[in-house]
Amino acid sequence: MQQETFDVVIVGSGAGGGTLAAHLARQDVRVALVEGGPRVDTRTDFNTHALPFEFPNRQIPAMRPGKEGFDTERSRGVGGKTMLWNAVALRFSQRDFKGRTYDGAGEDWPVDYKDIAPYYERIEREVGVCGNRDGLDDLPDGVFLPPVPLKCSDEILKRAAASLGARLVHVRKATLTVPMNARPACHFCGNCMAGCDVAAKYNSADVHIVPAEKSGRVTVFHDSIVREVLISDENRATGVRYFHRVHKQEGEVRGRLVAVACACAQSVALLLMSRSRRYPNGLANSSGQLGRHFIPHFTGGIECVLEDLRGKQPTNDEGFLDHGYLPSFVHRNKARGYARSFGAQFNYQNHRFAGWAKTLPGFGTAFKERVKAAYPAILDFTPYGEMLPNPGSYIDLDPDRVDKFGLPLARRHVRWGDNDQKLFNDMVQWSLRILERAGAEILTVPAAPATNHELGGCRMGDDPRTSVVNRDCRTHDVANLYVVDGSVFPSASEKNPTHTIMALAARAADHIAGRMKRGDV
Amino acid sequence: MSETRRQALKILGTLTATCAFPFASDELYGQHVMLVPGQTPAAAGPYKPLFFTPAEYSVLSRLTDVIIPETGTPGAVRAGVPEYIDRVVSVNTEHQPLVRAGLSWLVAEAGRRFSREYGALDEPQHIALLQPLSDAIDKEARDQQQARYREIPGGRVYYFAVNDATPPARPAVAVQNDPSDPRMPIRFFRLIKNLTADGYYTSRVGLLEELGYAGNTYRANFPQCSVAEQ
Repeated sequence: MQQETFDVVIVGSGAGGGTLAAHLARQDVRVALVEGGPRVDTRTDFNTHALPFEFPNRQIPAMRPGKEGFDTERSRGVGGKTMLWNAVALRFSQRDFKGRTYDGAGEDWPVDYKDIAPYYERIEREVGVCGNRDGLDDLPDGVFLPPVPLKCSDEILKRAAASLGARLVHVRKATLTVPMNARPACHFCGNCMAGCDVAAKYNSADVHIVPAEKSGRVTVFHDSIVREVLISDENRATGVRYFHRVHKQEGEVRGRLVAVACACAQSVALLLMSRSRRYPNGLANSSGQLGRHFIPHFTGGIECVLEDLRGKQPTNDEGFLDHGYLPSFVHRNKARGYARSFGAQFNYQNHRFAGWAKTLPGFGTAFKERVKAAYPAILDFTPYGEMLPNPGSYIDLDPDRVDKFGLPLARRHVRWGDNDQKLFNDMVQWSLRILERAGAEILTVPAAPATNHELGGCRMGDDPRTSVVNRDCRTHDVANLYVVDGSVFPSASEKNPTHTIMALAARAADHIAGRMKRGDV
Repeated sequence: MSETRRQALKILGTLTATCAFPFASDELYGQHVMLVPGQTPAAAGPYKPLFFTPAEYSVLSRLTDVIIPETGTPGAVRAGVPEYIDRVVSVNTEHQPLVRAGLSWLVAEAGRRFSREYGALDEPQHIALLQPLSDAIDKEARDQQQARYREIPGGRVYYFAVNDATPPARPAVAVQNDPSDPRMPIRFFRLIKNLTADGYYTSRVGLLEELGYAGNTYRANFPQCSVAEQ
């Protein structure tokens, strides 16, 4: 096996790597997909339907007894984070791709909405995305399966938001609301982020990788933790070196082209670890830009009780977690005093845990009654804001600490800038305004921004001095080395990134397959 | 498959069926089997604490039942909360000295103020002991929330300052658990209330009987909301 030279070696099997593998295979490209974790079966391996009291410490482990995977960041499982994601699938708008042009800060992408739109559509048609066609400029419509009705709490919020000039819409998710391609529709058990046990929710293993393996053109190397991307004296990527997750035996997978798709921080870490004489500071890092421009989303979750629902009989309303979405609206106000914008997700916690209960005052019978009355009315409201890049926010390797495999840990450094602070404060303020209008008692407001959706680190751009990859996700330094995941985002939008990662992967697949056909690689 | 059959496949049953057919969702749904028999201490014999002495465990148990008492539904003890707290504290060396100091403080206070064993206190005496502690933690929580706002002309706004981003360093564990620290009882009560609430509302009794958790089932469709129209 190790003698075989594949057309493309892909490191990582999540939304980026899985989509890329499947789209390459369809175009007759022979792919090796190298994943640090084991194979996992979404139908049997996760604790999808467990409840906390089944465990003495009341914590539900991700995996069922005897099943391995998802124990470290470096080694998750075939399917990566798509196995446990919440499936929100939003198209970016032209404003998201051209933030600098729109409000004079941060970076523009080197591509436009119209370049990515056909790939958004292709992804929607093949994985299934539900949603409503809302006709919003800033949240482009797509090819949607039917949306799911809003929850009662969503309806209350919708009226409140509308009274303040903001339009709440149905969420768009890569979860089936009607059966499709032998996958069943969602059954609304509310455990999406514990592993969907019927694959109604998109995961790259079931939807992209396994079908591609059946074509014979994709070979999966699971449990294979890549420690280095190999580079020849002629400045060509020749494959990867890995070791086995369990028995630690080393091996190599050779290819004519290598694509790194291990998710933001791990892709940066792998390239930083791949040092050579030509690239002493990390592969594809002649610009010194690798790891810089780390721009995770920041969130500020608010916990509250909706008075209209307090004391009501609890209902089975977990559905597929969040059913509504509040798209960006402040970007329309040119006088808002900062660049970029925010959107909000809410209701995406299920109700198996009531960790908020302890924050209610008092003790005894009155406390118990207070908790019970609040339970059907608890709402988590979480705005997501876009961060601007700054020199204090970057990813590097920890010089002192290693993980359980002996590889250096990836470190995230985040510093909030002036614009981040203004945007964060305004998005929390807007959220409070909407919640007060909705008749909510606020329980907790955030102490500080929290990060989510890691993006940046291998910035995409036309200028090799200020970016790591070009508009096709190809590194500027090495003509047959690609990075295909959230690390390439030059600006983050406030919208959930996965749909864009998948669209970029499908687009990179067309580009790579084209080069292969032309004999250009 | 009928709707009744689907409902019968709710996870709280003991179905062991698994199915080899990929994507046969209706059959697969219900694969989940309880990993432990839940909380049936009676069947398993009395729980032997891992950390607490029998005397401490008895005070702890009574305390948790004052925090979440029996009402129309069982209280903390019958929900297995003391056992949960013992398991958590047994592996948390930061909690251990605080909980130990707090329990002996409670026993001493019962003697000092009421000349009684802790276990012999009546309801008003329990409340007299705990109310000041509870009021103190509630006030701290309120103040902490209020500190996240700033007054500006025309009202109050949420305010996060970049310069405030570094949280103050936590006092060393030894300092936190100094028995002579006048705030020790307050910190002790906060910890026990948090653990009691977490333990109770993650128990079968707390989550299913008390709160009435209704999720985690199969449903063919998600209904339109009717409550909001009221």
